[in-house]
Amino acid sequence: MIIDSVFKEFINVVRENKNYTIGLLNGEGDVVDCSDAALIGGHRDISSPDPYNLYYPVKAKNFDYGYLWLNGKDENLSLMGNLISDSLNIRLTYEITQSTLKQNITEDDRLVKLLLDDESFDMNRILGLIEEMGFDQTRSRVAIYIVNEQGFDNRKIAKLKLMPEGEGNLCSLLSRYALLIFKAVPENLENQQMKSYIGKFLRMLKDLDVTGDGYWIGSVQRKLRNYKESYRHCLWLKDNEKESRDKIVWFMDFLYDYFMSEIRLNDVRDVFDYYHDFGKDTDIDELIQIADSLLSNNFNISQTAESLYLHKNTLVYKLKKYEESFHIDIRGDFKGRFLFVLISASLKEYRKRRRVGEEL
Amino acid sequence: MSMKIVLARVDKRLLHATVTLNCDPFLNADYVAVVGSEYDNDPFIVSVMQLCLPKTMKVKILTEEGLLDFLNQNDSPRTTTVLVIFKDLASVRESVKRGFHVDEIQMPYPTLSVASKNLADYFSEEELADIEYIQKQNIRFYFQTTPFQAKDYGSFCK
Repeated sequence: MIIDSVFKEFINVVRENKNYTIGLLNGEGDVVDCSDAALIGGHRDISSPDPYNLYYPVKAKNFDYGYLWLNGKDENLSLMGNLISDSLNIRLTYEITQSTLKQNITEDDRLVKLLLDDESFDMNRILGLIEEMGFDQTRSRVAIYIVNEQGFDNRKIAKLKLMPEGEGNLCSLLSRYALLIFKAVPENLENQQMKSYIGKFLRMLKDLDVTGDGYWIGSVQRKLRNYKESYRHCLWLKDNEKESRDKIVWFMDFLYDYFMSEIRLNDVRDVFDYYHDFGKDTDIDELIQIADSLLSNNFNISQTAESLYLHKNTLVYKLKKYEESFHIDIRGDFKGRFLFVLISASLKEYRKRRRVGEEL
Repeated sequence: MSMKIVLARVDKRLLHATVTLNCDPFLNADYVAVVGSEYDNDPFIVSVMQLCLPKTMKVKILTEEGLLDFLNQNDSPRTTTVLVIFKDLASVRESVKRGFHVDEIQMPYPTLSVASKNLADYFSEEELADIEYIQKQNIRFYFQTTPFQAKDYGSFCK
């Protein structure tokens, strides 16, 4: 028990002063430990203190550890008794708090490990642990992934659990440098409200000196099974949004890019390869530029032409050529527009691979 | 290299104030410097007070003069972090007079709510004079008893 090791430290200090003897009594007054080993096993009448023997309850975090007994013939016995008693109770409170924190963080680590386990996702074990922890599984949560190249201080992460803002969150250091928090969030927040809510939480983390070189915020999830998806979205952001150092990057801002990245662009290229070979003279860079510009201008031809510094008729001429080459309707049909964006994305990938010297 | 003060607090409970700071990450200090205690000359009492905290955190019971000496000497190759607890405002004032400086000082709330009251309801004239003197040295005060509470600077700006 914590009291045993802590009280040994007190005994060692008190032994340096021959004026005093301290003992630890159980609830019945039996001496269970003492600075004078010969007195261990004896009995004291707690209800009858006298000028040479004082008794103080030892209590921390609503748990009774028995009584502190102080014996001595010093005129300052009472002052010393109060000091030792306060110190003992405070030290016990400190040790219990530290121990609870470690236990909490260990439970969080275990749960996060189970939730992220791709190979053997075991819902029964997860539910068992959740019940043990008293974890509220009905709340929606969002993954926050923070990387600090200097490494995180484990004690600060543990203490985060005690903050009111830490309630309902799951917090785990995946490595010394990577912190994952599944932050509980209110229901039905709009995108901007969510950013404001999470932003406030991150500012609180900074106040705690828990800072990162980058912050990636995943998708909001309600089902436990999907928590790992939120985490995976953070990792996707980290890998694909290179300009994110020291910034907060929100997955919901990159939905289009994410889904585009999930499409097997090789398939797209293979499908249109035949047509592309017909139009050998197609300027790939120009096609990509036009597709990007069309996308950012909602396929409005006039605005796109303006942003590309082209005459509208020139742009229409180029689009007609693409339509003929790929057998799609870019200007009039939603499906055609979608396919044109896919072709552009596949050519972008092709261009990237060619630039790094890959044989194609 | 240097001493970094991670928190300065006025609390008459001195080292025992750490019980309310137990959950504060600032408590990850290398030293807790208790300033203005009458116990500074009794090594046994210092040893007992040290028992409040684990051995990784050293307790120094210092006079105001000793605080300055302590903060100015550091042979450690890395930055040493210090939590300073003053016995009272007079002790802060005396330390400031001797050259102690910190950006802000934490005061525990005198009661649960201070918002609607005047500082004069809680501090004596001498203490108010101490506060004014210390503020003039560009040191801010704020009320905060536990780390869970927001810092209240406003009460000291009235």
